[in-house]
Amino acid sequence: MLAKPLVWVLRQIIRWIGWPTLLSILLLWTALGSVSLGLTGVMRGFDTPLMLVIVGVGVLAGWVMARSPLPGWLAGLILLVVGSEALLLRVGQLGTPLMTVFRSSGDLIAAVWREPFTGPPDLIPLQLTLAELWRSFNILLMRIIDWLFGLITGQPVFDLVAATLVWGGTLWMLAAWAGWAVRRYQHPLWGVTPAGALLLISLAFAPTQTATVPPLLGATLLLIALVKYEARERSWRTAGTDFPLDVRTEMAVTAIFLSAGLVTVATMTPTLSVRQIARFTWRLMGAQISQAQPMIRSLGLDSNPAPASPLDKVRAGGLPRDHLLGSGPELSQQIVMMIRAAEIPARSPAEPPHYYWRSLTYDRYTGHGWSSGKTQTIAYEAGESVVAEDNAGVPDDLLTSSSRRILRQDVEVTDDFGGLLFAAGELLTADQNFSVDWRGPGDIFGATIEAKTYTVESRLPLVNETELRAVESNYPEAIRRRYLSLPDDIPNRVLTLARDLTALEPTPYDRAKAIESYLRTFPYTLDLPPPPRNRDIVDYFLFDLQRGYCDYYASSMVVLARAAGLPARLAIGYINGTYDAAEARYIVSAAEAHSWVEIYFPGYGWVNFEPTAGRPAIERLTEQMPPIPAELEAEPAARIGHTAGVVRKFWLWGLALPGSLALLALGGLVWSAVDGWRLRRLPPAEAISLLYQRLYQHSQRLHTPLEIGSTPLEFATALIDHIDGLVKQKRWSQLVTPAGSEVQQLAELYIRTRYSLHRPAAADQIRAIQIWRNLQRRLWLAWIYLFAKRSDG
Amino acid sequence: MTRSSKPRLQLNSRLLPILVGLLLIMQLTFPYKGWLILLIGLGGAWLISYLWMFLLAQGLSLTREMRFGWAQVGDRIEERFTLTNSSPITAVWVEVVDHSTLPDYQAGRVTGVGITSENRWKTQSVCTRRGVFTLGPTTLCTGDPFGLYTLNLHHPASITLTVTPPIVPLPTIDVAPGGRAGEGRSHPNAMERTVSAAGVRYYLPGDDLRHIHWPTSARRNSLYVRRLDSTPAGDWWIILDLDRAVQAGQDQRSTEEHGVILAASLADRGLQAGRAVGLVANGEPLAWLSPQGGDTQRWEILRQLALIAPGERSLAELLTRGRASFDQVASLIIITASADGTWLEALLPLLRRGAVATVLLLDPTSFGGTGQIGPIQALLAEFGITAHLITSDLLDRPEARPGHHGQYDWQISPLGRAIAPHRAPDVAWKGLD
Repeated sequence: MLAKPLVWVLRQIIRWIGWPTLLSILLLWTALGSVSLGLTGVMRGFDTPLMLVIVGVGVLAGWVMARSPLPGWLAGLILLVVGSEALLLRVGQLGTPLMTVFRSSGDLIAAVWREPFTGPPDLIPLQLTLAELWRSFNILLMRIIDWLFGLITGQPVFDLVAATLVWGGTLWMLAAWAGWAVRRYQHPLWGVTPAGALLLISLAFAPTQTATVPPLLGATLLLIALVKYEARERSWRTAGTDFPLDVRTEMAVTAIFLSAGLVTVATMTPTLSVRQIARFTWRLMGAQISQAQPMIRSLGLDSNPAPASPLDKVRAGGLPRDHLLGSGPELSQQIVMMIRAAEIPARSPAEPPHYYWRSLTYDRYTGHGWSSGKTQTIAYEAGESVVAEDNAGVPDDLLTSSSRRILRQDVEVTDDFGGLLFAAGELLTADQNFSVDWRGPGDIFGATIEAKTYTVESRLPLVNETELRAVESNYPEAIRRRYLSLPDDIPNRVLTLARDLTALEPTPYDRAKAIESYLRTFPYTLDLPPPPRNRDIVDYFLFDLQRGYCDYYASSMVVLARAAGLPARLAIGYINGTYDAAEARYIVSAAEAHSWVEIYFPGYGWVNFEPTAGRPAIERLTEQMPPIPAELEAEPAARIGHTAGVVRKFWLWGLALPGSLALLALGGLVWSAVDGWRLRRLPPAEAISLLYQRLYQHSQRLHTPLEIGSTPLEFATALIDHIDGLVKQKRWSQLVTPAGSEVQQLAELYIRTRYSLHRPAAADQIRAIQIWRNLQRRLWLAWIYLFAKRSDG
Repeated sequence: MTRSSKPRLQLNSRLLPILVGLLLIMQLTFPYKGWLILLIGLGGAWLISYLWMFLLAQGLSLTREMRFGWAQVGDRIEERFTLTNSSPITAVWVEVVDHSTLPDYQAGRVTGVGITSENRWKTQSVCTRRGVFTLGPTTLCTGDPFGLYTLNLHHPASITLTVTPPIVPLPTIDVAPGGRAGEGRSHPNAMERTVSAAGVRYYLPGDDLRHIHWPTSARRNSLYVRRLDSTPAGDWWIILDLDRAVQAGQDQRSTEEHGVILAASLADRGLQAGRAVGLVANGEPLAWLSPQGGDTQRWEILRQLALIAPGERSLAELLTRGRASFDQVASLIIITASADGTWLEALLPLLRRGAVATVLLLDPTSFGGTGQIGPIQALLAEFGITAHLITSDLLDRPEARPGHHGQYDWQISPLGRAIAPHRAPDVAWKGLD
């Protein structure tokens, strides 16, 4: 049914734009599409469908602009503005605040029309929505600035939103340039070169598959042939030179044949480099060595197997524990351990602190579960601090105790955990010999201890929400490398979701909270089917299952957080347990087995987040905590963060304040113009009555004492006296005092309108409007003065 | 076949060498498959294009042949082109750019020529304007499949083609004969044959017996015949007024072109009638041909008329300055569009000396110009000068239109004049030098 009209429409389009144009655009799409697809393999979180749309529309936009008579600079400016706005709306999620502004504007316009019946319209909703829009815009701007600042200062920050905006904007302009260059200058090579250079440099920077380069090459070669021939044919037509139509076919066949040949040869030709030769030699030697293995063994040369660690069982890939990803956890009420926290005096609190008893942390997400990177086991004597094992590269904030508190815990394990050591927060020491498996400096995978009863000291972050919001995203290299990594095959929609969820969140903490809040809307359940084998578990949970238990929630939050540029890891252990107030201890059962999320905040270390809907949310302190010691702030990373913060604040206020004022001024001007126009259209008597009514409303806003049954003249006198008595300060008084005579004049006009036999003329109406314009301003000033005075008082 | 001058090879993209160079540097410095793919792709395209053009530059040649050296307005000329490709590469397209000056001549075209083969075609065109034109030179322009290069092969061979004004059957225009000095002015319709003998010669078989001069034959005792040469009274002086100031109309519908056609046609008519015809025209360049007879004179007149353009001299000046040259008993045929009559003052002395004038007045108003022709006609009548009014519809008459299929009939003369459109010409093709 639809095929016929569709074919007809297609034919009409082809007839309208012509085959050469259509082919040129298709080839440009192919070339630019190859660039987009190629960048997918380089940039994590690259929203390929979005980028394909961007380059598709960008090429068309550039083409259309090139057909217009606009000069290059103007067309470029228009494309830049349009592209930026579209990207901010789409990537920056500004659509909702913008729609709210439109809605508020609509309501305001409707209110203006209804004003004679309902009183003056309320501007506050529009102001609020505008402020919200402005705030959202500023957040996006700040994120981009932070991102660029990080790049410039050599401390790159991964921010999916900023990166998508920058990449999207870049691709948009490159695509538009390609369309422009081909259409206006007939120079395909000029058009495609910038995009191609971007792709090649990106690919070379992060060496990956070059599968998208041959299509780019092929499309470019064909585009060159097509555009050059088309220009030639156009010149023949213009000159009236006779030419056979079959030249087109011959040219097309020849160009396709040659391009295909070149692309094939180029793709098949191996890259030769010194490195490859060395690798080849090494492979050759390796084969000989393996052949010689029996002989080597016969000589007694063999490597000694390393002693097995108790953590080996849980370190290697797959599912970290039986109850992790895959099926419902086997939960029971069996008591597994009892813990007494030393900071809690016996029998004291009714609401004891909430702890997460951690045993292991995981850094690698495989798409189907979690594993840990390579670890090194170090044995410690009783009482020996693990911090002493510090090496170069340990993040500074993990070595200082200023921003966290020490917690001592007496642990009594009643179940067999294979020697796993449990502690809330970062392990410091234990009262018995223990071993720690280190992934890297300051990065503990887990610890083991032989004893069933032990005392352990650990550190917990001492931080409130305000401080967390103030933290910048200048992460140490080791943290960034390990805890921001995701599998290459992570589905794009997961990354897009992370970007959209955090687009308008100004700080890393807000982004983490946004993800946490989003996940906590998913229902908690233990009744689940096993996950599909070949599906990414997080993608499956987020988009299909949409319910689950802690492992799904925690895994999803870690992946989303990493996609949003927040270093995160999965922690497993037990949650809190039942607090036995009599013994001041926590009784932990198997049912409290849990996995949660830890997100890294420079200066504070790893901070817990609870995305599982079935568990209580973590309550953080909001009051001001003691400041971070000066020595911590003096560290280079912190200094950079501080500088970035200063710049950011500068930008924020530098843009937000004048911007808001400008918007308000603009809104005021528009409102004044509309109101004046409407008042002039009303009958004179009605207009003057309306203005008198507004005067009365202002008097109420100023809390003017009025007696019931006052005449208009009495009302005017009372208002004048009130204003005179209200504003004491000289400067304000000079501004506000003339309101007295204006109130008097307006009241007299009203009296004449209401009680005189002579109806007011149009001239009276105009005079009343003019009086009101000035008077309104003074009344608002008086109100602001009153408001400020009350705030002070 | 004509050899081309040095081939001109032009690279259409300056960016390509830069890109290839950069890719080469990147590949050598930071080996990466991506650089290599583009290097081979773009570098390969560049190399292929260059080789393509190089081979075509060696192998492409053009031969351009023409049959005739001159033509008349309305004649159809035909030219033969042969494009030869002796290279092992096909020329997908070759644009033949013709630099001929012949108006409305479209010899340029785009064609293709395969490997070691030739492509031959003919072009035809109708000569629409008189003048001397060149056919050729020619440039062959071709490109490679990627359009990276443009190759220009210039063939300087050219030929000069003279296009003379057309000779059309004229309406009844009686030319007053001269040569009756002392016997009064002739009546307009009193055409008289020349009877005076300029001399005698031996009788030759075939001579009319009526022309035997008996007294001489008797005295010399051999047959002598009278040589009936034209007497000065029989000479026609065609005086064409090409004063720029009096011309009206544009292009083919102008007093200038009509005057030229009238002059050519009258000259042809006079020459065919055995008269000696001279031409005087105040154009650029000034034309001054003393009365002569024969085909050579016809050609000279037509050639002069082919080249001539309006000048700055007035007809009065021409008549005054030529007074001494005109024979006393000449028949002056004045073709002019001048309506002011000032030139009559210069003519009257000639008339008093015995010259007889016939005036062909080109009506400027019918050509879109200004000026009243009535007063001058009245003056001419007053002086008893034969006058004919020529309007712009002179060539609109059926008999004055081009011949078969819109063209004049072609006449092939030993001088190589144009060909007939439908008759297979037997004149050999001759390459442009």
